Amino acid sequence: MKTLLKLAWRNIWRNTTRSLVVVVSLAIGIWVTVIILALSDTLHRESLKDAIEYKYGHIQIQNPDFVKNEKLVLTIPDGERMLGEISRDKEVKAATARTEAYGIIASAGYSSNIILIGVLPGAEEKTTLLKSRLSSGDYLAQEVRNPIILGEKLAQKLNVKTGNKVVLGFEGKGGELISSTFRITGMYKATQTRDEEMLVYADLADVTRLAGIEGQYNKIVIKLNDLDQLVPYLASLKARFGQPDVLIRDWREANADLELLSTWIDQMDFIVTIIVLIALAFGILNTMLMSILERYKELGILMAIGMNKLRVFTMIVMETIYLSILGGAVGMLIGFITISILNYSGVNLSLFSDALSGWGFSSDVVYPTLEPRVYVLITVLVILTAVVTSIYPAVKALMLKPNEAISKQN
Amino acid sequence: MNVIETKDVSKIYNPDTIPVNALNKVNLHIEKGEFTAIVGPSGSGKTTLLNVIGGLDDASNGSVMIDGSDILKLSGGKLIDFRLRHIGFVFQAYNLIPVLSAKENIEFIMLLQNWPTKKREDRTKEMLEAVGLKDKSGSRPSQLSGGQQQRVAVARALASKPRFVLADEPTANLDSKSAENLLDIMLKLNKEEHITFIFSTHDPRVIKRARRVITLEDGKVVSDIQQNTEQVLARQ
Repeated sequence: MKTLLKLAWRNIWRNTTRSLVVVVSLAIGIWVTVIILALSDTLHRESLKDAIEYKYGHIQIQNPDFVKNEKLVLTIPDGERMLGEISRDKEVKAATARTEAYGIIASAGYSSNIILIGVLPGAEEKTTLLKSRLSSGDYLAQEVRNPIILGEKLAQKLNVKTGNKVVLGFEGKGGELISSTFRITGMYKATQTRDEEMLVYADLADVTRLAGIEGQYNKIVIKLNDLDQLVPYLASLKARFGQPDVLIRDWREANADLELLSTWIDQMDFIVTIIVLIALAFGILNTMLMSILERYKELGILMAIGMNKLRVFTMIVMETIYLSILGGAVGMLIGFITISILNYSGVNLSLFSDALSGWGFSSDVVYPTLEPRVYVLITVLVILTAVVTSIYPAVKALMLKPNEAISKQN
Repeated sequence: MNVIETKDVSKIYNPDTIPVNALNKVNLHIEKGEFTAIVGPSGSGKTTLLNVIGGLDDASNGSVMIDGSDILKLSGGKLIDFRLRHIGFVFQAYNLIPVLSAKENIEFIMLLQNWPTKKREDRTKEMLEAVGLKDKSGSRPSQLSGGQQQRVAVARALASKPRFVLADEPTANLDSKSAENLLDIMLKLNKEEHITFIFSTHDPRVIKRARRVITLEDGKVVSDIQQNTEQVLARQ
């Protein structure tokens, strides 16, 4: 085996230029893949983090009918008691409750469709980072009657400022239209443009009072101390509160958009990786076939003097693996160095901020990282690709007849 | 004692289109320690006969018995292993492994045969000395002259002590001095190690030193002459 390894290693350096071209191609391919994966992985993680931190929490509890038909009156049975119990669980960092209703907001000159979210100001502050998004004014100020906060984009649309009054209309308990005046106490910026135009936050007490459903909630949002506790805690919640009229889901189940985004990003990563691997495979295949063709006579000699097919096969596969390991290692190394530099300096994506914000990416500057397991996975995939690719040239070599190969003129 | 016995060996190329009888019922007995030249004009079947005896080509008919076994009936893997264990090859164009040094080329077959390291290294050293290339052990084939390369090829073929060596026109690409030198080495090894040599050749220098000369024409053995040892020695 040692002889075969030595022979394979020396064989790849017979044509240094060609081998270097393959190694450099492999390295560039892997380098690009690693950077693309790091960027997409980081953007993905950031968007999930944003969504969980600002909007969804880790677990949501709802009335299943509310999911199908988002009406304010479709509340969680005994939600107040449930929230109290959940808030005392040791796994729970914070929990809050919300009411949600579709409605209309109107200023003196303009109006717009909105989703009115009634929140418990104190609990919401502990559970999500809504307050930290305020770009001007104050968080739902208690001293003001019917305070609301709305997105900057919606404010621009309505041509209103902090301190202005607006009229909110939404459906009440009996299906009647509730209309009331609210005062804008603050404005926020959101990661997604749609949120900034649609979501209006008010005090839950005001919304439920106006709608006639005091003490009732449409949604309980839970944030855990540790994400690793998600699965067992979700199971324990279902065991305790799971009834036909209580739906308990994690963030992934509860938010189809996020799930779709995750799936889409995973698929894009997969496609990019596959494209790079296919390109690498063709590069390796071309090189190895040329190498076999050039050494046709020599391979015939090796088989004539007694090198069996398994050894010839192993030698050729090893040559391919050497090339891929070299290219892979160089690609990984420069990829790792590049990601480390970018992680330090950040990647300015402000040019694409509008497009990215549509997908929930909040920051203009991204600090990419890549999990070690992805490096390992790519390494394994590159080597596997090389091994699979080498099979065809190796089999082709095995099919030669020693006497014909030996008599071949170089 | 017979090392090789061919019985009615025939080889027909293109049997379905334009048949060419490369070998036509060749019957030979080659004994241990022989130094035999197979001669004949181009296309007479010399290389084909060597290839069939060496298991590199199959025959259309007949058998090639080596130590009582018909090698034409061996399967692919067993045939390769047979070649590895029992036959040494020397080719016209040297055909060394270009990425290995002279020493590594010589020990290559022993490595394939899994010889113990010490035994292998001793034998390699012995063969390098025998072919006069001790000082070239680390040189790659590209750093050696044609004659030196062919000497390495002979050393490679003999190193693992095969039952016989098949040499296809081993001196064809060598100048006179290198050819004589190579023949001297091969005769010496034939004498010292009792290894059977079978050549295909056009080279009168090989023919005059061979102890037996088999002449082929149109795939048939037309003469088989044992040369007088005194005559051969006198020519040496």
